[in-house]
Amino acid sequence: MFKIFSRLKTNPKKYRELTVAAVLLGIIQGIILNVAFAYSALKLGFSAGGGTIAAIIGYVFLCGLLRKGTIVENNINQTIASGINSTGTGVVFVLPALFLLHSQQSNHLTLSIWPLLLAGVAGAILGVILIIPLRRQLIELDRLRFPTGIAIATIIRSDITAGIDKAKLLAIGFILSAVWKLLMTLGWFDKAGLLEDEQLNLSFGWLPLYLSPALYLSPMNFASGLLAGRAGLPFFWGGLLGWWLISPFAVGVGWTPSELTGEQLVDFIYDNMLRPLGIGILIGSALMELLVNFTAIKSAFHTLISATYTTRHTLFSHEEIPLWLLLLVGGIAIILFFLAIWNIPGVFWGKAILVAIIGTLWMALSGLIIAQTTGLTDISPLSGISLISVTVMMLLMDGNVTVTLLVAIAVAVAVSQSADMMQDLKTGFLVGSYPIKQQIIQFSLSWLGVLIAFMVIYALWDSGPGGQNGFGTGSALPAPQATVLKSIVESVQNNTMPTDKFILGGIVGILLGAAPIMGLGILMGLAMYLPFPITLGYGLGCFTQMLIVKKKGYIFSENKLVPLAAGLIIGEALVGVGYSIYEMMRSGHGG
Amino acid sequence: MYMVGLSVFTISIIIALISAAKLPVPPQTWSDQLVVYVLAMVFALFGLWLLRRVAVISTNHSTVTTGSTCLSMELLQQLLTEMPNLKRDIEHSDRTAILNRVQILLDKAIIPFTAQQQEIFQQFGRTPGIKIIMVVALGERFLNRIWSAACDGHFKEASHSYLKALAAFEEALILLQLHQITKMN
Repeated sequence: MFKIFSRLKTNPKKYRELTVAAVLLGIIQGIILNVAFAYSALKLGFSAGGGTIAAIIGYVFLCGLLRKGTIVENNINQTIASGINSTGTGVVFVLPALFLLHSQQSNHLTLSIWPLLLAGVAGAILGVILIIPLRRQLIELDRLRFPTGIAIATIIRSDITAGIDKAKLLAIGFILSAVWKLLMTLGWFDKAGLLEDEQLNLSFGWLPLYLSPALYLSPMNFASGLLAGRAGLPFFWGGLLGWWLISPFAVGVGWTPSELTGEQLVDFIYDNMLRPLGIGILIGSALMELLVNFTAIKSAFHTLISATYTTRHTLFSHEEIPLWLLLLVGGIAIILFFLAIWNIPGVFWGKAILVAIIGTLWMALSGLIIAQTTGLTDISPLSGISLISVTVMMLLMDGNVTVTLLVAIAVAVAVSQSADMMQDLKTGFLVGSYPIKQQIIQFSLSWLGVLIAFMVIYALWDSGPGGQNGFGTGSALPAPQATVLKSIVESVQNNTMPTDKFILGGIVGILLGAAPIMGLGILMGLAMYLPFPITLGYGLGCFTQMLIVKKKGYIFSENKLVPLAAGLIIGEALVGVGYSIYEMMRSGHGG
Repeated sequence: MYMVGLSVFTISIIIALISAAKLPVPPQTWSDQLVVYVLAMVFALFGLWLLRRVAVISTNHSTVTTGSTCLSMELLQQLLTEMPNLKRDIEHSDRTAILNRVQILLDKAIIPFTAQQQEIFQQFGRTPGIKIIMVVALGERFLNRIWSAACDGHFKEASHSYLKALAAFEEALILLQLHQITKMN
């Protein structure tokens, strides 16, 4: 057993990879990013991955200040930082909703921290453990792009002497995107009816709103499409299907309430038709793709097993976490999960076991969904997954909201970890890291983010009048995501969930998943789940890449478009983060 | 047949989704478009069957796939021919030459090889094909590691990674040749 740790020890004469400097820097950055984005999520409703920032700071600190940092060492630093940050994203999405519900229904809800914390920690570990066997499938076979993973690898590998052309393109993309995002955020070009909230109105004064005629002016979104190319087209077709076929048809034949017009009509179509259908398609196609790719997944497990017990496959013997360690750590995490559920008053141990098993299986499936959507489009449908988690758990637990949201926390943390782990492993593949080092460091440390996020949320809640209501509607921290999740719980309690859409969409998703076109169901489901301005921007990126490949060839596209797209992604991400921090500081001064 | 299958599948899915969008009238669980949905799904299943049948037929056309598999083997052989040049660059600690050589190997051999993935699956079957692709991917990752190590000035690590990359590509070629022989027999 101790051989595995001897492989991780750093010999000063060896190529620096898993070092004390990288680990400490990653932890410090991860904690800071976690705190910043927890606040940002409560204030603005969104957070961001911290990998790009961590990679840049790692480059400055490890290579610039310490003068002995290496590319693979910086990859370890950003793996840890993004891992700690992303667990916070999962917590912040769900936990505040429990606070909001408790303040309204305190007769029915308990709010004991330890079970919730245990569930979050279990989710953080399971999210990594469950996705590890799919590394080969997603990265080496499907060769999913993971746009942010590529962007981070481009940062880590940026070296002016190594490739000045690529460095120039990276810089150009960064400057263009940063300036654009800043102008959009400041609203300097905003014009009522034409350009608002970073969306360009394409209605020309006559196209109806239910066609969603708008374009989200996001360089990051466009760049994700640039990186995906032809493979991302189903995402665009799904958006067209939803908004240019289903929506006008539904309005035309009178399937929508006649009293609704304008934005209210758009919201009705989105909330009651397209979004639930999209979620159903996502789940159905993920299930089918599991079946279709069963051979590859089985092969991955065989590789794990044979690498542990034989020397025949010495090529793979130091690459992955051995199966026994996966099972051991996973087993411990499932026990923690069970203990968390069992500690909720009124939960019988038999039901706790059942919920732990179902919750773990759901984590595995939804982790796969999120990893695939992130790999294909850089988008994570976390709210859709949480909606299903809440619906299923409310049914299983007879409406016990505390247990439902406890499981939802675990699932949200787990799927955030799954997507982040795959993103980091993609970066690791591109820079030549050993996957085993990234995997061990992620599940060993990322659970810290759960503790940090809990502390932040409790502190902010306590900062309200009388030690309560520090966030929520009417406060300085409106917590929009938590408000949405709260409304989902209430609609499940009131039995107004569109379960027919989930089922019908799921069956369509199964057929789409069986079609011989990679990612068809996942992409179409995601497109119907998202607003059309986003899919339109992404689709333009896909078409642009296809045109360039046709004119200049694939190698040109790889060498020129990839660094440019990486720069576009990084520029927008950094300005977005900077704006969050600025808003935080402004709020701190009573702004 | 492919276009027929694709058209039937696409149109059926569109009709199914449109009909699924209608909200049921409470207290009904399903809308009155359920019959349309079911019919559309039946046609979609037929379209899917046609699409998958075309995929099976194209697998059985060995004259087409043999050409593609020869290309995979050629690419690997070309890669292995170039590897000693990379070894020389590493032994000379020539950073710029190493970075350029790795990029050329990735552009000219690895990326085109990964484009042959479906043909390899069709020719040899999914399980053997997966093994070959994974071994080449392992070699690709070690090529990336050579790039990183050379960029950081660690030529000993580059040398160590070179041996692993070479071993991976050699194993991939052997696997391809073995499966080719098995198929011919």
